[in-house]
Amino acid sequence: MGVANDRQENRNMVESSAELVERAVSEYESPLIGYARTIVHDLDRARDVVQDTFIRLYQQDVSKVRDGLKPWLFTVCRNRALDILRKEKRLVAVDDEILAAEDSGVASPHQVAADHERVEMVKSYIARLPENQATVILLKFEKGYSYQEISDETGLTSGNVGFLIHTGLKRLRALLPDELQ
Amino acid sequence: MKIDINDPRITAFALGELTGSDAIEIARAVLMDARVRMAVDDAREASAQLMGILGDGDAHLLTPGQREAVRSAGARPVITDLASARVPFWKRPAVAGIGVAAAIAVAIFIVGGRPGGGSGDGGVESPAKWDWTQVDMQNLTAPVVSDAGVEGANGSSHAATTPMREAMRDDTTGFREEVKARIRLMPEGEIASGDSLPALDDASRQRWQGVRSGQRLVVPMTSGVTSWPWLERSILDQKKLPPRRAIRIEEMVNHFRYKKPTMISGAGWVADMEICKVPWSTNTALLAVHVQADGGLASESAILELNSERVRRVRLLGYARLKESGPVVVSGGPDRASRSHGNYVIYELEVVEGTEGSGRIAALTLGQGAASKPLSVGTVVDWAEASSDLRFASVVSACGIVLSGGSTSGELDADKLVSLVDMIERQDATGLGVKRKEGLKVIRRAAGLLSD
Repeated sequence: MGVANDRQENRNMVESSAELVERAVSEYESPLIGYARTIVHDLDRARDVVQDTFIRLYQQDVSKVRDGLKPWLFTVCRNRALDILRKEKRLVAVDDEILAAEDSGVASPHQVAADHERVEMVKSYIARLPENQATVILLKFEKGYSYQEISDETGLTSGNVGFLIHTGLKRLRALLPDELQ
Repeated sequence: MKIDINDPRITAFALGELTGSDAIEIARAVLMDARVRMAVDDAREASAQLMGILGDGDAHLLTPGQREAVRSAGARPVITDLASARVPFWKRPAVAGIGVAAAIAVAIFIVGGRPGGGSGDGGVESPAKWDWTQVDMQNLTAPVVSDAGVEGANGSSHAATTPMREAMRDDTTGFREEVKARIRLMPEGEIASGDSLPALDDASRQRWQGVRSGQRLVVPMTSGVTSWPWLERSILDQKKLPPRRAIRIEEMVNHFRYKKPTMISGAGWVADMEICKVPWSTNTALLAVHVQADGGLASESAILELNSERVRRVRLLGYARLKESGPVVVSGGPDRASRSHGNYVIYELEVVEGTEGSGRIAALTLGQGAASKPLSVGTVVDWAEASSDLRFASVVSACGIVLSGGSTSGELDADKLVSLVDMIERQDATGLGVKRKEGLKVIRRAAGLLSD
């Protein structure tokens, strides 16, 4: 599996703008939402900013943007987020106050217990997977490792890691009850 | 190539782990094959869920509806609906601020320069394009401000806007397209309120000033491009009148192209000048000055001199000042002029009665000293005898005056606007291009909304 970042190979394959956007979504959707959220302090707004960013990518010349995709996305995302923030200046200030108030305290004991229970329940389902699948799933989703880091940690090839995560994730989704999905 | 639904690359792609040709291949399959698309989306949702529970809880994704909106946006040439249905925040009153983001956006120009190299000094627009997506809306929609057109007062603007001005000059078409596209993408509430645009100073809208002997007026060389696309979205899409701050007469007039000037040339410019009676008033005249860069880098001003014996007062239509000053002001001096678009400037003159046939009314000079032989006009023709360019531009201006609630001399209201559109459609029926026909349609609908 070609998990290595191979720009040359990428260049040799003609990529349409729709394919570029799809690829950008797969690689940067979550990081961009996280980034936009740090600016606009609201998940829904952050999602809108990122949606807008991806739509704008269609208007770009693929050959010009492809190699600098990440900085392009983050710059446009930042500009759009700041546009919104500026327009919402007063309201965001209020939101910030609310946010600060909300974030000021530690989660309630009830919430901590519920979260802990949820984690343990998911882990109990992961434990039902074959050991190698469970290991890579935990490294990926609990530790946040990349395929390459999992490969380095376990000694498996990155192709094997990909296969194990693919099959493990599929099986886990079949095992997990609806309330955990 | 058909992708097997059990291909592990699908999950790797969903997790952002796939790169190179494999990523392109799966991206292609996602677009072509609904099963692959569903598999990718399912894997994405499941991984976000797991990260949320097991990890730091920060793995957030677009909603399925938003992801679908992104995909479908690529299937049509013009994006018309960006805002998700549940985003009331767009509709909250916005605060027009000028600050860090504007400076950052401008700084990108300074640091990043222009993609594709410089523009050279040619009189036509360079093929080099700027990446306008890197500029925030505040900068893109900054109005061009002319300080009453008095020589010496014009041309000052914040230093940070220099790269922006150069970009506007060198890639006017790209600039226009980007602004238009963004306005099309704006949520309805933002279009209706206009809060994201800087407020214009009502007192400076079409302000009359007395004409003094020897006074020299600097002709504005450029205009912004925001007003007309905003107007179109308000009137055609939302069936509403646009907010007043979106009405900038000079931008409305210069949304349209005019015949390239040929009457005089000098200092890197070509220019035409024309004067006709105002169709909605008996005691004023419209003076049109059309300037366009003509090879080389025009750096000197076009100067208009009015004969104080024949003209009592003058006002520039459009170019209102901002209500509150800020750094994002692009003034209309010669180094801001577009390399591909001319600037069509209209003055309204209060002509002294009984002076017909007694010498020139106005003289236009390109550059300082003897750079060009002055172009003079002395006879005010009837509006019906004016060029089709001036008739059309005057109707667009009239529309701007009415929509902005500006003061007018004479009778100018929605009915008069419709009658002017009727006259143009009758007189210039064969010469009207598609863009002007659409423009007249917008004006007619604006008049209808005003009447309602």
